Amino acid sequence: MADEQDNRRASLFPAPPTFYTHFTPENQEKLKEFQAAAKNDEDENASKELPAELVCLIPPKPPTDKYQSFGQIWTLPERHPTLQELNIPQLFPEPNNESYNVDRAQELRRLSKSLLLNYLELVGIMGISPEEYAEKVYHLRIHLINIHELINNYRPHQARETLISMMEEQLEKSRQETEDNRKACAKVRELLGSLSTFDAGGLLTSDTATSTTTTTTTDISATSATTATTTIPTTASIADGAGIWEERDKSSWEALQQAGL
Amino acid sequence: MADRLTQLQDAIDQLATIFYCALRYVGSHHDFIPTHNEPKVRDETLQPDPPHIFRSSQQELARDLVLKTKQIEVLIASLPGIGVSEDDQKERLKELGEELERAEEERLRSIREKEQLLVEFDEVVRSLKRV
Repeated sequence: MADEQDNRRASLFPAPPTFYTHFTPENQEKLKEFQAAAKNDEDENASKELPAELVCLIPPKPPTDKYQSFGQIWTLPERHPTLQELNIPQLFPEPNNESYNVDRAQELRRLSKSLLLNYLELVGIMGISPEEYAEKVYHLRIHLINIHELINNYRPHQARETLISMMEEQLEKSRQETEDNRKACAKVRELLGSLSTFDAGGLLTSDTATSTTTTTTTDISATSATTATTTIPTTASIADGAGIWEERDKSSWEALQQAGL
Repeated sequence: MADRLTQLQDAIDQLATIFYCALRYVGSHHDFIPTHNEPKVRDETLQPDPPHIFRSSQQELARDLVLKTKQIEVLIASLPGIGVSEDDQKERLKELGEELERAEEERLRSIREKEQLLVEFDEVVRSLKRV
């Protein structure tokens, strides 16, 4: 019976627990009635009086120490069990904070060499007295487990290392984008600058005030502002003499096309 | 691509499999040698390979073993962040975080600048239209 239960827990797709049939609307109604009754009576031991099919409807208390899930035992809080806890001799020294990582690679190398040597010994034993295999196989097993333990302990370190490289990448990307943006801005400013001098030369000669401002401005950031101001007098003068401006419009467009804009 | 540690772990597992395969092959494909004048022993469950094939298979298995070990060594040597302590890493992470923040600020500023320029450019184009 216990075996069967264990099997069910350990299987990848376990069958639903036997009590799932109790979860019916009727039973839930009943449970509510029971609980209401228990409240009225102020009876602490109400659950004991519950019929068997209703007991399952009350969720159990969350586990505090350890729990079982899919046949595996999990501790709370979740953590990796140490080798000592698993009754496996630890073949590498306890970490000391200073040169832990250097040691770890060294230990890994040492363990892998030792693993190979143990295998050689096993092969030798198999050739002479095969029935003594058990001890060497045990040694091999211990070595393999220790190597895996070391590697798994290394994982947080690698995770940090990966994070660092990802951040470096992002920094690089961000800087590249800034750089590109700056370049684009400089290009646009250059364009605006050339445009404003062009404006001053061919387009807006009639308005003396604006032409002087545009020609005298050398500050690039100011040029766009002045070109913006030039629109005001031109639009105002459109109302005055539309005919002249139309002609100018045509010639200015031709000039613009020649300038490659 | 899996990370280095997983690669190393897989390599170790493969090495263990090779251990088993080698012994198993030798155990199940060897021939018998008669001692003195006794007749040669026979085992019905064994299918001895001819000597030259047995020899070359042995060599192949041995080569696999050595190759795998070498591979493991290379993997160990190329593990990320060797010689860097946890504190170093944390320091570096902090530094990078600050740098990232600064770079992000710069980036946003450049984007704003670009947008501003776009507006200015737009005005210029519109003024040209009206002319």
